[in-house]
Amino acid sequence: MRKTLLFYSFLSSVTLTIFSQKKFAQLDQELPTPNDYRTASGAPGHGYYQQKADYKMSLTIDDLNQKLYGLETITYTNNSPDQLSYLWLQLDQNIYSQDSESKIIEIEKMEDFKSISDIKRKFFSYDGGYKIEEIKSISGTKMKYFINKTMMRIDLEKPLLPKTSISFQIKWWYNINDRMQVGGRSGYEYFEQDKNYLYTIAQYFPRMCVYNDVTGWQNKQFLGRGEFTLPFGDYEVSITVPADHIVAATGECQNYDAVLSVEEKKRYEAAKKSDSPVLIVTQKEAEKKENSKESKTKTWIFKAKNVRDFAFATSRKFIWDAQNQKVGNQNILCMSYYPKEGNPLWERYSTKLVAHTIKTYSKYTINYTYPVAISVHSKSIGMEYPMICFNGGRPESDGTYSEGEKYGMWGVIIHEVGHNFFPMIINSDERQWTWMDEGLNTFVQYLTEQEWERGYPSRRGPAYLIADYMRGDKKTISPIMTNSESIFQFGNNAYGKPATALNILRETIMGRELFDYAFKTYCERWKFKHPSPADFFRTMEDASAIDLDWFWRGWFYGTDNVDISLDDIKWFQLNTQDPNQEKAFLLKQKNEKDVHIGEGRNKNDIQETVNERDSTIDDYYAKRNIYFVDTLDKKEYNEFKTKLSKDEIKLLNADKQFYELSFSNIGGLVMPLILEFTFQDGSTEVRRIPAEIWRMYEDKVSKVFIFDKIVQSVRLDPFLETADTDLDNNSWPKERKPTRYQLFKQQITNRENPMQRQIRIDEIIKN
Amino acid sequence: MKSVQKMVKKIAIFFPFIFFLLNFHSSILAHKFYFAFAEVEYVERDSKLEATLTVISHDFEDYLKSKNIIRESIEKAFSDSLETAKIVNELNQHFAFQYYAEDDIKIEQAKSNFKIDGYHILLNGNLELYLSSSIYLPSPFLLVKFDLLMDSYPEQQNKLTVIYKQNKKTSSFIINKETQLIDLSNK
Repeated sequence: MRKTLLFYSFLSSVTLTIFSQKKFAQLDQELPTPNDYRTASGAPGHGYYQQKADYKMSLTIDDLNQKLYGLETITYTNNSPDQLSYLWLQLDQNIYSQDSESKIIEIEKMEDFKSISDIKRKFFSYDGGYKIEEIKSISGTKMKYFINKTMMRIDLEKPLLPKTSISFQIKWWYNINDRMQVGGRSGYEYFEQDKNYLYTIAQYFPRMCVYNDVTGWQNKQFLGRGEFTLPFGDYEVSITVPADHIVAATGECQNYDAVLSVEEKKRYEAAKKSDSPVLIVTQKEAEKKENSKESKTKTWIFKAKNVRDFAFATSRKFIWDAQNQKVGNQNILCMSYYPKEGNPLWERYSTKLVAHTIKTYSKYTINYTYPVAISVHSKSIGMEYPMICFNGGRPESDGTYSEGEKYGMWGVIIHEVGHNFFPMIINSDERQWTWMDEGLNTFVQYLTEQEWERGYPSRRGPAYLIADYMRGDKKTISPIMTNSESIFQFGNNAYGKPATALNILRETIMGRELFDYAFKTYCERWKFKHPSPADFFRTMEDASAIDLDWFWRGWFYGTDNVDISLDDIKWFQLNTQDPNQEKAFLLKQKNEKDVHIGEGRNKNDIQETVNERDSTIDDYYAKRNIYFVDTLDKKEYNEFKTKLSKDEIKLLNADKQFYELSFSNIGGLVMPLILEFTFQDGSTEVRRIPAEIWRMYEDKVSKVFIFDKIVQSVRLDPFLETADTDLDNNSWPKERKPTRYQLFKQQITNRENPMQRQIRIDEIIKN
Repeated sequence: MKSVQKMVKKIAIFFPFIFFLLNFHSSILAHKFYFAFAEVEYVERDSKLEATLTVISHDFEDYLKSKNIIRESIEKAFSDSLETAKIVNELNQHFAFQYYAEDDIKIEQAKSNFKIDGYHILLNGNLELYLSSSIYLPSPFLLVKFDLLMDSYPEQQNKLTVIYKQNKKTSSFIINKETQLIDLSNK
């Protein structure tokens, strides 16, 4: 019934190997059994509970000796159905204590001790651990406690019963770390030029561990990477600092009248009504304070409701600006605090980025409900806390900056402000699963960057950016579902890969409408609660009616990469059975057939053959014209047509082109087949085949495509949306992509940042 | 005890920079990247390796500063011939290819010695270094050392895709697996 024209190659028919169903198996074995606390739909169950930890703290910064003193009262409410005979608290600052395990477990080799500074570093000793002076009940009774490195157990005289609370007081102090020397998420930066300090303080007080239905007490030691798992609570914090300092903190300041000048207060009130940044403390004012250091102190008082942590920053070097951003019906005060070293970048961009971030994240997740959102400049790092974050992005000392520095600063502010949503509000277990906050946050960061500037050069998000990390040797790749401390390639694994996976779900697997609805559903369900991975996986399916188990299995539980190869194409046309058409086609094929060199030369060299000379040689077979349409051909065709309907005849004569495409799954990770066909007339058409095409045969599949036009070329994954790690096998006809070096040879690179170049131009013009 | 003493080796210490910079990068800072990727093609016609080394600009800059190879930014370092030479030297110590065979090939022909042909700092924070090196690789067995940045960042992972006569292979390099024999005889 059909004839075959093949202009690429004939291969033996593809043998499809049957595998047991692995890649599309349901995740029943991997996910926890649903229960009263967490349902099979991914929503909190009717028995869901969470604990509450409220804090009242008095803090004092010793600016002369860089020490922090604290007295805190914790009120812990047991909402669980369980009796608790002891409480666990986190002592994260003990990562700097002498017996800290984080340094001990680092891999070392003799090559690490090449220089005297390497050896000095090894012997360097910084006593940064907590000095716990006292733990007592509200009535003044000393409480029994035991410190196990970064965890502290308080033994209760009698168990804390369900639906009851306990209050107790802890007095402590520690030496604040020099962040530029020792490193760390928190600490101080010393400015040699004006001899001032800028403090960014976090993880500084003993904090309650989470107790819940998933982990019991989450008291896994803090080794440095797996961040913080914290219960929600209300905070009232007084911070005593030198009188000329400006303090930024989680929550709302309760006594601006007492700590700000009249002019500063006036500007603050103006900023609350402005939709663009208003300076509350100018650079000139901050510079003046740098030189006249106050010895008196002031106490700033802050309150924050329903937050999981409390951080602050303080310095006399702070320039401060603010603006209002409306989210839903709520006014959010967006603020930035930065030393002059951050300008001109910070004054120009920081607060606008804060406002843009909370507005855009609110669109894709949940409405931001805290009253303030703050970005503080701290060199070299990015770190997040409720309502406040510490961000890098420092220009050169001459005030210029490279374009990369600018995008780096923009990216880190969007990312860290974005953490207000993951994990500050959608409060996942960071100690266990880094990806649940970093991955989801990096994904929404990408969406937010793209709404800040068209074509924003995002570091993570687009599928092709993860290809280098995912290709090759699987032994050094961890599944995303790996504990935070044991991940190979923390950044790529916990930030980049999950962000890419969600982007692929949104753009390719689910589509924007279904994905956005499901993602918002997850955020709404788990805001101000403690979600687990299963809650996320289940909600995304529950709200979309798409079975994504294969996707979670491949992208989150596996280490395979995407490398799908377009192996072969065969071209077919229908045989119409019309002898006029078909015999003419065969004749044309014969005439277009390549001629052997000998046959061509014989036409000239052999004057006459025997059968040309002797007419008796040719018999019936030699004389017949197989391309002639005879009476029988016509009769048979007419009979054939009587067996067909009008529609069938129309289809038969439609001149359809059939293409059988064969694919191999080399990388192992199943993905949809996205194909762009380019036709002889230059037009293109994209066809999308869902990943389920691989459900029975995981290594090789084929698919037939039917067109009205003749295909000239085919590209697999033409929009770079699947993270395919080898694009050389994605084209027909075969097309090798140029190497990066080859592309470089076509470019001109510039070794100077454009702003520095402009200064040189200006100087030439001036002279 | 005696046998232990026999095993003791003297280590030479470099004293040029009594500079005390502490950085517990690996355990403390949250947002470092620790990843480098190299795409390297052997151009048989020219007996030459053409490489593009992609590193995170900040990681690389911090690394070079901590080793006193550069003083300021990467961009400034590349405008200074002395600092550029130091960077090239550092790269060649930690990114090296060698022909692997037990025959009579001259050793100087069989080792890479990269020079920097150019660089590009991408807006997403990556630094691409374009390198080339003359080298004769008569067979597809390469001994490759790629431990760049690992002495400063224990979590550093380097990946390498080598293209040799249409064959392509990707390998990972981590601490304790800094040097590998790569067989490119088939894919």
